Amino acid sequence: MRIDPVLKEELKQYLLKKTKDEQKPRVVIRAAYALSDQEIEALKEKIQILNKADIVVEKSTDILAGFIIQFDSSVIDLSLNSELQSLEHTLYETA
Amino acid sequence: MENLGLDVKLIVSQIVSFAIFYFIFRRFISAPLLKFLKQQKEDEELREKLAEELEERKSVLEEKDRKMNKERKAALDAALAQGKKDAEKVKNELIEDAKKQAEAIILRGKEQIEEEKQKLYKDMRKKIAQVSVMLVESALKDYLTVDAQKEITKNITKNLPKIKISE
Repeated sequence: MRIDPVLKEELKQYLLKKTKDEQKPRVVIRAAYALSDQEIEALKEKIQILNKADIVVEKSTDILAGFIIQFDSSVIDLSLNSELQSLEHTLYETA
Repeated sequence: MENLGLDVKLIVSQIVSFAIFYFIFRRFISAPLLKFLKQQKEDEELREKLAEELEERKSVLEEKDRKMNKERKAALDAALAQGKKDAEKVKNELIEDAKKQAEAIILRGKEQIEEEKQKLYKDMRKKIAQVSVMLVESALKDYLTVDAQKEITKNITKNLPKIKISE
């Protein structure tokens, strides 16, 4: 059985990418200020995946306080902004 | 006779003349005249009779005409009454229909007003919530120092349960 060369190449690339990704997942933490090592360590204790991930800390002026953790397509929003959004929703529902 | 002064010949002659005159008068004047008069009288009688018949027929026809007029008037009155009745019925139906339509329109209008009201109320609530949060955000931006932000982050981390994310 002959395999299509294009398909073969795509499969190869996919497997390489997957192997590379498996080595160390990339996690982005966005916060209102640059998080200190101590704060990151505290986070690592709570979120296990951070221990074996390549952590990138980004400063975002949009965030009032707290932080947003992004891993692949998953997002954990622990910012004050999301609390305010919840408050807005609550106000809208209960007003 | 002659002594009496009468001329017999003359008398005979006059008698004959009279007889001839009478015969001629009777034969050629009196008879046709009488016949003519009789004919005139018969014609007159016939005319009168015809006139009477005509009069009688006229009265009969007039009576028939009156009767027909009466019947026609009665039929016309009945038709008019029926027409009025039908018109009244149609009018009532139209009024009833118009009332129903008007009620439906009013109801639909009320429903639309209620929908608009609800929509407006919903929009207003949304705007109020948005403005409120915007005000809070604005106030917090001015109020929150880096220390306050750190304190909040610390609290969040502290209260955060352990999260396990599968790779």
